[in-house]
Amino acid sequence: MANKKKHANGYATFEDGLGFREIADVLHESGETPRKMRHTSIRNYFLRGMEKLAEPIAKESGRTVREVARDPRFQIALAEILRVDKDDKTDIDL
Amino acid sequence: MSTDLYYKHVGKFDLLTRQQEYDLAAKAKDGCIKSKHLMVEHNLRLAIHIAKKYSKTKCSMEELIAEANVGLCKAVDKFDHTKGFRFSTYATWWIKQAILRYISRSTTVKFASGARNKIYKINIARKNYYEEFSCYPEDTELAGLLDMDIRELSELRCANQWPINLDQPINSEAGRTYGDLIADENTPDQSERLDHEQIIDSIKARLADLKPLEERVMRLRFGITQDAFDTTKFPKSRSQQ
Repeated sequence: MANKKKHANGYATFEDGLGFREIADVLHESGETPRKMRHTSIRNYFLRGMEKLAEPIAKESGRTVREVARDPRFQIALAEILRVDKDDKTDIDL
Repeated sequence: MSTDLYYKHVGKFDLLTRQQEYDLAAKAKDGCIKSKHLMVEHNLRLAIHIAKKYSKTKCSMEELIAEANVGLCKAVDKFDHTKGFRFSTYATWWIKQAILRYISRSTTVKFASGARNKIYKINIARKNYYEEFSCYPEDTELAGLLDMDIRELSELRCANQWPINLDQPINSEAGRTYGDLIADENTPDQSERLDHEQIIDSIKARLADLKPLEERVMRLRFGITQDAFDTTKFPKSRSQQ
């Protein structure tokens, strides 16, 4: 029996975003990683990065960094921030 | 036809005597259209008389008279002369009913006729209370006086408030309308916006702490590059530098 449950707020999906397995392929094909990584390792890299960025929110909200980092709403909002930042826009609507 | 001309025209018709009324009603009952017309014409003054009592409402006098005449026509159709009452006694109720129904239809907020009667009673009770004690009663007090449920009374009183046009200018402040006073609930207040901006800034500051591979994975995951397989099109990540 699966011990993982669907997250209370669903899963985060990103327009033009890649799955962990696809990311592993891209990194390997581009030579950024010497051998193809497991998708779980990619997920760990992703979540570790998310945890670093979640710290300010965790302080504000009183939730743990781990919780915030895994929250799909936070992930979607962050993707929006980074996308807006890339497009050089100043209006950010969280 | 202007209202004055109409009044003059109506004034030409004398009141019917009891016998005339009886004869016309009998013929009308048998289907004589002319008799019905005569009964209506000779009672137009009654319709005006009753319509005038409602002249303080928002409806115009012409509209009230027209509705009163509709009620009068219905009274002529339904009048039973064999019961021995005068036509005016019977017609009065039909005319009042037609006018009241029209008034309730013409207001912005629609009420069932029962609810409208209750509102009328509430207003009368409040007015009487004010005349006696120089202050308006509380809803609980009023509910006790009228033997009504407090919740129903409160709802009726809320519904009875006169609607305001949001585009109507406010008297004391030139250029401002009532609509300007309503807060936009979708717009976050300034302090909230500043908090958001501070959080975003602090998140952006943390971007520098990411390891190159973490940053690269996040970019691919979020789809910040348009074509993830063609890395040459995108700004180089630090892992490639």
